[in-house]
Amino acid sequence: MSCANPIDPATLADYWLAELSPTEESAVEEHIFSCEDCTRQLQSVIALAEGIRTLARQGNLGMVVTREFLDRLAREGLRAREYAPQAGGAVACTVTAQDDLLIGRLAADLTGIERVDVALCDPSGAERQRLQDIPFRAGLSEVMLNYPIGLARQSGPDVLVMKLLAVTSQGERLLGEYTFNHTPSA
Amino acid sequence: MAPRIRLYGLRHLRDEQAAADLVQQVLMMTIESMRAGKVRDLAKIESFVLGTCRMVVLEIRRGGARRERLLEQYLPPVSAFPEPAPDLDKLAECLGRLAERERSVVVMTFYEEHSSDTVAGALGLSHENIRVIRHRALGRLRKCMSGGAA
Repeated sequence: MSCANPIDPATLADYWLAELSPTEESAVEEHIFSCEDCTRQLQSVIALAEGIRTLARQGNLGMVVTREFLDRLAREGLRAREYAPQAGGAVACTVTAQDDLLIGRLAADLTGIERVDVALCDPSGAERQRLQDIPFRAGLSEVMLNYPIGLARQSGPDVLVMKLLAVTSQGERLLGEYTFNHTPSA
Repeated sequence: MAPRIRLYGLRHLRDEQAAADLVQQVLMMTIESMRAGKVRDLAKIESFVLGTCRMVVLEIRRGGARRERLLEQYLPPVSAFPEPAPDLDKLAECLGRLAERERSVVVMTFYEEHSSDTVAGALGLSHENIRVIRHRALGRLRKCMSGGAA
């Protein structure tokens, strides 16, 4: 029998993250204890959370990360290989079997910037991929990107150029260009 | 009822073993109460079980004395009710379809099980914005995982 008044999955996620008021939390629990459908929904939210954790630990999610996030992963025993070329500079990089995460640190002055894109380009400047409107914290002087480590492991020698771009309604402005010269691990 | 007790335990104790212990304790206490005639209205058994869960978790947080006694008294937990794991390849694909902010917010939130405030501070977004982004991203993820477009 399906639930006549199902709890929104977003509310179940809030419940799981302890973000409901005590009254709301109590109402959710009373409903859960009498509803098989919503119990299953909560289980699926938890399973989704666990799946996300597994993927993050595998290092295969291309995304912006923070130092705090990397510190947490390090405390769990994961090893991050970090490369931090200067703006306009290049760095030789690789990835080994012992690495769990591959991090590119892109230094730039983000003062007063409202929107930042990251363009992943080949050496000729042709875009392979663009990460639009990335999150960043004002006051920090670098953007940290988790590059999917599985892709790097499969790659032969390659040159990847990352461009940080300030985007406005008038167009875009280059904040920094960073070249990663990748060679497979011996 | 056991899966619901376990979920309650996971939510409040954040530990699989502790949640499994809670299942065992609450079920045993419920059975004992029923045998003793303390649960007269079986239609209200769910409320009784939830109340027992709340009481046991509160006592665990107060120092665990009763929990230790119960663990000594009753058998160790014998069963878990793991959630069915999602298709990780599909989940990775669906996460890849999210906007950058959505992906960072969802991953950092659920990886660390952090509150909106913590993630907001780390990513330079407001608390309200984080919740909106998370809710929207979850909706897209669930739709994508069930076969729709993210």
